[in-house]
Amino acid sequence: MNKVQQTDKIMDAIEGVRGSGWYREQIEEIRELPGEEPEFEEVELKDEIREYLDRNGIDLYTHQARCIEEVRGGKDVVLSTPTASGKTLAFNIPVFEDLIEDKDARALYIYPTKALSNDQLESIKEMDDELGLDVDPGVYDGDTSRGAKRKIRESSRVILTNPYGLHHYLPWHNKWKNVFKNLEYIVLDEVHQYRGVFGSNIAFLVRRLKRVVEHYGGSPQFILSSATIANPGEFSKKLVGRDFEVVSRDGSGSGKKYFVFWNPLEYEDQSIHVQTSNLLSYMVDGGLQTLCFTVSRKMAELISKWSDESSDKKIMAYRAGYKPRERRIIEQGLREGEVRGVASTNALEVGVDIGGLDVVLMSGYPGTMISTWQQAGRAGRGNDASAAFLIAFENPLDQYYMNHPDRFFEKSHEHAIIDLDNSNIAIGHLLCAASELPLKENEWLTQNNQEELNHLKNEDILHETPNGVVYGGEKRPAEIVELNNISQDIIKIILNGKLLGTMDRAQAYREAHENAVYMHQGETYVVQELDLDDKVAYVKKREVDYYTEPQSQTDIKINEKQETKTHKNLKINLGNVEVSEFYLKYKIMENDKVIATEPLDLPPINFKTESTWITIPKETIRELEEKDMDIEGGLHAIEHAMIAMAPYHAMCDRWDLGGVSTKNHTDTQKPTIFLYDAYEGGIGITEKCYQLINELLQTTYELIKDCDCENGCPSCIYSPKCGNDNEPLDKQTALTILKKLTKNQNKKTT
Amino acid sequence: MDIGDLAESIKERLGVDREVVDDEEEASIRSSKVVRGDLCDARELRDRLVDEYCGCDLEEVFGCSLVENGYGEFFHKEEVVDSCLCCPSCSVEDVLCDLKLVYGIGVSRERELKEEGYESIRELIDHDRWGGRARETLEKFDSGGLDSGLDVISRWKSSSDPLFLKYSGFYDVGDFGILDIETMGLGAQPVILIGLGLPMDGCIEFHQFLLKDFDQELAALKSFYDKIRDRKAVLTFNGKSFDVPFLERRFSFYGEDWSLDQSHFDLYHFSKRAFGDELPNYKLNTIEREVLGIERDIDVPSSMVPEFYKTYREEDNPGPLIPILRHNKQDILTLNSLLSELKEELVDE
Ligand SMILES: [Zn+2]
Ligand SMILES: [Zn+2]
Repeated sequence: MNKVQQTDKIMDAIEGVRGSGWYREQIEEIRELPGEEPEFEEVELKDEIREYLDRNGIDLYTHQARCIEEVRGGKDVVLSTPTASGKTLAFNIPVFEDLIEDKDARALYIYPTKALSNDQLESIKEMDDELGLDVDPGVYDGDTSRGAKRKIRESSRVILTNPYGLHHYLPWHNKWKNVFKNLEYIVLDEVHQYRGVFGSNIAFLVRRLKRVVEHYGGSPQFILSSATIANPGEFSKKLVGRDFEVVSRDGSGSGKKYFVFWNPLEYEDQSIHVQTSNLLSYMVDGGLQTLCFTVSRKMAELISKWSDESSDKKIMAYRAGYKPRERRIIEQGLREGEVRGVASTNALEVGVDIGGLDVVLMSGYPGTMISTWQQAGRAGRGNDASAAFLIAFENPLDQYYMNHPDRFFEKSHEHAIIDLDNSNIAIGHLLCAASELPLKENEWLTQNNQEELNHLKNEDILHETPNGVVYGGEKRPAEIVELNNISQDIIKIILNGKLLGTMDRAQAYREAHENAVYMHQGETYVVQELDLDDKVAYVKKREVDYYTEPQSQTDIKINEKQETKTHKNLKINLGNVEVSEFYLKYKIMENDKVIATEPLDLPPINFKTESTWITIPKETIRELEEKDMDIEGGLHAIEHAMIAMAPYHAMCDRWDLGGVSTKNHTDTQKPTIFLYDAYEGGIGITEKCYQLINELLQTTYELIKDCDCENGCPSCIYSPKCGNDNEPLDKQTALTILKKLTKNQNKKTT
Repeated sequence: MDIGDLAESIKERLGVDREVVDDEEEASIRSSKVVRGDLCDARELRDRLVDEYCGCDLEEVFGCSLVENGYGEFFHKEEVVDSCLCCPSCSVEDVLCDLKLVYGIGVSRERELKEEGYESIRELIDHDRWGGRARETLEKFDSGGLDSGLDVISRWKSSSDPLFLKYSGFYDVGDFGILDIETMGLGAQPVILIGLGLPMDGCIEFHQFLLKDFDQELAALKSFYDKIRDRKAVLTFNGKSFDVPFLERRFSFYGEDWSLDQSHFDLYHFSKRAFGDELPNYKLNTIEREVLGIERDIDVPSSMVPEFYKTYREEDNPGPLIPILRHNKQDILTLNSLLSELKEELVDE
């Protein structure tokens, strides 16, 4: 099919939707994104590699060429380009060149998940076989047998693993002596996933890895690959602790893409998921190979089932948890074009070669621009035209995009955030490091964490020795440090004397208080007792058709103001606060209806964290009060809307932030709105909000102003996690306050 | 939580989750499970010892001395214990009668070959089918010495194969080092006591290297290593999977490339094979009681050792160390007897 035909076919399909029985003006916007011609560049290559590329008909794109040259030049490189732009090849080439040259050289490839390392093993094996190199790549993780592990350490020159495994292998570094001694490359793939709490843990893990490798005399280069992010250089430096060459100009080119905004709220009588299924079967029946991304495993199953029932062709589901063989069949079917429609979780967002599709449907905004463009990037075969649908949910950010498509297209990719100063994270890794090698005076870990070190010594867990600081506790520290957790305050969930799971205190308050319904892997349990002294919750398995939802109220106290700035006529502050959450009651819910409210008897949760807060001039408030406006409702609405819009500016989830609003705060003596990091010690999100406060207030204003509702709704100022049942909320007051706040004072006076 | 509270709460979580069980069978070898009765007894014992030895001097109580070796200080105890490591010597020729030492030859094949008149590997070197491999094996034994001979076998024999034990007959009494360690845990924690028995003719020179504190670990490791490095063979109970890798990990933790790559006879595997059916479990304690008829008086379960050592550190009281040191010494003496016992079993077979 030629380009024009394909373009017509896509356009016809989109337009054709308008004629279907379930069309109610859901298309809010169709944006045509022009294609780009690929740019190639010649690089001098070793004969073996050149032949390999020629045999496979591969020409190198400009970004691949640059990556190869920078790596050859001995630089640490971060490659930040879209999905399917050939990142793996770009770092495999210089690594393999070196492996050909130096028969002792080793490389360690680290992927965020087991599944990804297994996917990538195939392609690396293929390259190894074709080059006849005997690199003998191997995946080293929890599923690898003991014998195979030994063999991999002895002879595999490319070892693929994941951070969870590495975290536990590091104390056994003497077994890795030969690997580390000869380690020339550490490749970290998909690093944009290493952000927030998880990323901050990984940053420490990478530093632990570095010191152990250096201990054996290895001095590897780092090669990082990432989806497009706003700050690849800064981010990589934080993750690894070195300066990076950034390669981010994508030369892979692309076809024309139609981006369609679909707002299911326009057709109230049909659910979002039914509409998604309709679209999926419609596209597939129109001859377009279509992939639909869903937010959960359950939705992937449901949408594939529903659309399969209404389509003539087979539509399948794909998700993590399927057997590798089943997954391979679907992947291959997609690649070869036999499978015409798939509903999938984000498991198909990265890795896995499935070729390019005609249409991608995204059921719900995927949470970040990075994910959105990765998912949309799955559509587009070579330079052929393709389409991507963003199907909005009924929540503020999704609806904001529907009302402001320009904001979507002008938005750059997010900043990925890592925090190296959170003591909760640092302290665990210090223990791990000190159990791996004595911590010396001049190390980064020592110098950056003096206070934590001193406390651990005082507690008699770490010990000063002539050789450095060493660990002397009973458990292996790696056992108690979880890479995607931050809290050290852990509650165990016990079922019939056996451990069912663990969670931090805040989560236990929400999900494991007395009589709470606790959901775990599809089963429901009722909590018999939450014993906070022993840090244990006892549960019993029960089939129940209700669920529970606790309500909390939050107090906030300012401990230290670090920075203040003035924006127009309001003061914005950044500092450390102490948050107290009071869990006083919980609701028993059935089908979204409250059937009862019961009291809770729990001590408050107190934690220190980072916050940014806005104080509003009293005059502003006085004016409004004179007009009988509901100030508290207005401030509360602004707080909710700001939290909802924060993910637009900083890469985070709305659950990563908490908020408090009050007409008169004890510490400020003024009307104040607080946003705070919902993690003990803070993780850098509100700091980003502080830096981008102008933009945040502007988008918050737009969100509320442009929502069609009269008095507020789930698409603007309602919050699903509000401790006050979304009361009071006042949309009009919120708008009036925001208008005053964002209006430039200087203008007023001139 | 401020950093102080954080450190405190992390300390709590670093304590061992000791699973107390009522059933002795469940409390299997070197696990964190402990029988309820034992736990109470042990704690009572600890408290009694603390009372009894309050204000006492460790060196006096144990007759050990504080040694400084350039790496730091540690307590060293040395004594000579009467005992003879029964090590009926055997010659190379005895071992070479075992045709199974040749790769590919199993029990039935050996029987056939013996019936055909091949009594020794030496006689096999001209055999059409097995000659090549027989020559290879023989070469290892003749030229490579003991270790490479063992190495040959270990490639295709399980480590509990009686052949290994038979092979120990090649070593002189003075070639052995009997090893047993006590540690703070199973992973990345310090060792706290290393016991080493060096058999001589008619006696054992017995050493204990005890950490004064965690900061002096390397000193103890160093002196221990100097004592064992010349011994050609290591004798342990479960040391292949525990003691030796643990010590090697501690060496490398301090950046020392010392290794314990001597021949290693791990009696755990042999015992399992020899007494497997007769015993409820394969703990050294059980074996010594059931097979050797040794009863210990005061003892501390292995899993309680860290707790006892912690009490010694925190209270600066040598009392809780007494059962640890005795336990360790008894383990080594038991290993010594067990080797003789196992060899007798082997002869009986
Ligand atoms: Zn609304
Ligand atoms: Zn609220």
